[in-house]
Amino acid sequence: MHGASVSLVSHLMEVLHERCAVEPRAVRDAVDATEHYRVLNFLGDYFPAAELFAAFERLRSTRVAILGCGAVGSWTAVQLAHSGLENFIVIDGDQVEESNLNRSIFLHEDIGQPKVKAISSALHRISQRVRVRRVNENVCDADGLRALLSEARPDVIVNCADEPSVDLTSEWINEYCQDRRVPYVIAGGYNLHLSLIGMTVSPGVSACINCSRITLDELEDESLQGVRRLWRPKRNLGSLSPLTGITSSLAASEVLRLAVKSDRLRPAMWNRRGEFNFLTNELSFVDLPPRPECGCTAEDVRDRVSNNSQ
Amino acid sequence: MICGDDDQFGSLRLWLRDGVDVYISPDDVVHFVFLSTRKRLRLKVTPLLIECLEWLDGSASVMELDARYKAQASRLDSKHPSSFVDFIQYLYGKGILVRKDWMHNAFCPEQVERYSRQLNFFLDIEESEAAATALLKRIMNCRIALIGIGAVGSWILRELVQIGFQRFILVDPKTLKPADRTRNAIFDHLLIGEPKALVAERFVHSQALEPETRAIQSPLDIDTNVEELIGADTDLIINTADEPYIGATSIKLSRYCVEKGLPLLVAGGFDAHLASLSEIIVPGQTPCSDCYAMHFEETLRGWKPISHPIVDRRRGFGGLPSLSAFAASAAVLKIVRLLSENGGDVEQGRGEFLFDQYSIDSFKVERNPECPTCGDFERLQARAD
Repeated sequence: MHGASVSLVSHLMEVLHERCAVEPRAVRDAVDATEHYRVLNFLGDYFPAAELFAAFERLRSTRVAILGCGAVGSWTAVQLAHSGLENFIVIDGDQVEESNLNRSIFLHEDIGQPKVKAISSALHRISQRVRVRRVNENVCDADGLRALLSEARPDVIVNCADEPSVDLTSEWINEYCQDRRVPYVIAGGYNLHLSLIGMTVSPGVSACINCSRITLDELEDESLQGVRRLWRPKRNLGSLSPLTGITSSLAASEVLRLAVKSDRLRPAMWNRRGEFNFLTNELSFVDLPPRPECGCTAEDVRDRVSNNSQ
Repeated sequence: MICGDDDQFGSLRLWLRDGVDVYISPDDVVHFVFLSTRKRLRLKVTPLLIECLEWLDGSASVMELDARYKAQASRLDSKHPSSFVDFIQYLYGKGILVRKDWMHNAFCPEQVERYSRQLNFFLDIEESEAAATALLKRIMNCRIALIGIGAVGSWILRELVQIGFQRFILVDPKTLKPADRTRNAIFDHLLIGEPKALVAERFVHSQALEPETRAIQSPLDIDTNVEELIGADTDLIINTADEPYIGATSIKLSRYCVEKGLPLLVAGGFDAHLASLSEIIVPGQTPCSDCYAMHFEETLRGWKPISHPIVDRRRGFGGLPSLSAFAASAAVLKIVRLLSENGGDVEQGRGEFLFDQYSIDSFKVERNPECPTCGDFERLQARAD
């Protein structure tokens, strides 16, 4: 630094620190000493050293509810536990069957067990510090889900439940979340196949599921407009583990972004949803902006929260 | 009248495959939409043939349905030039109709139970029962040497076992460490201190229906004899070993694979980040690792990064389990496409998933005709023959 003054060098260091390019030796040593040094180093690309451990602590202590513990739900849960999250609420009334093993994290020894118990075992294999609240029931209506979530009080909800349908369960979650300002991630299940990447909703900040419906109705494929669909009950649709892996990896990444609660690392799936194409290995997205006519703006949410608390 | 070879077809009980949606527009155009791949087929047909689609639930044979069709046609007193059987045969050829029991003819009940949804997916890709069956059988019979069972290798192994691979040579010299809880897909805190190769072998045996494994607790070094390490019975090698360096281990394995005519998948490890889309090397079709090295040497000529003040940065690289899962999933999809009849051309190039906006950055690399390893592939092939 030929001719640079101390104050200039100091300013340069401040800028580099703020932009996450340098870190104090003590922080590096502290990161190095933890088991989660890879996750911390990753977050270090977004958070300056002075904020790094606080961001990880927010992540670690986030209470995440996973509704539906099938293929995507089970994969999402274990990725979050590997990432350092320690508080889980898992909700599913089904048992593990042989047919689940081609795409879920369940093991052969789990067959016949409730899925929530098998997931709990998987999470405890990763860390004994993990706390899992198991809800071994299928949620059948909005009231039932509301009661359950009101008691469990999650910080983030991931919807992986496609029974009775993803649309319906997302609507129930949206109702609860808009009232309580709880963010949620919709993972998989759209249109009955597994390579779709759902949107992330932060009430009052981003478009909600109802906003997305308004836009999607407008975008409906013209070639299918005015057509009727052949009714086909009890279908056994195709699935493939790596597509589950891709959908769940993005759902888990979205939960991490929500869990650190910072503008430095915001959700990437606000106001859009995506699709991964098996044949071309490409990701594509559809923009789903907030719709004023939906009634989910920040002001609407504030009013609802205030009415709710009165 | 159905006769001769058609007798056999006439006796089939066919149904509309679960993975295909059917839409009917007011102008009598039927839209078949393949849910897993989003392929579409549009057909203009008669109203009576549209009505017939609802009969295809596997409860009656083609011959019985043909009789019902003819009775209906004569009741409507309509002149129907269309043949019901031709229509059905066409849909069967396109993989839109399947035999009700097609999986049970090829696989045992436990295999059907486990893989029925996957076989339905394969039908979308391969478009025939025979090809979908053959794909799963190729998966079950393929012997894979997996070099490195870490942040990406362990997730790849987990997915491969899920989709039916069961023959493995598992190579890793290390033991399971506490920090592996943040990245290893088969981590179990009760197994800390055990060799990763043995942990992986135990996992395969707990999941696969007919497992065959060899666990090898040795490193792949520059002077390792590859065949002595993994044996001569491998069908595919996957390299995720980033020590001493993924580039070095890949060049070594790539040279071995070109000589032997074996496919190689290189996954993970690039610049120590974990969302590489992996690259597949098929001797004679794709560039080999030497071609990649020469390509980058040329492309990056004159681009000289300064040396980093921290000499050993291995603990300084960041990663997320979700990125490992993405990288592993992209790698396993490449293997499925490689084994598939309709998976398209083998991709040539490199790509990575970018976390910021979930975009994919990829570029093509061509085979280098001057490559000392694979440039004269025909000569190598003749020698191997």
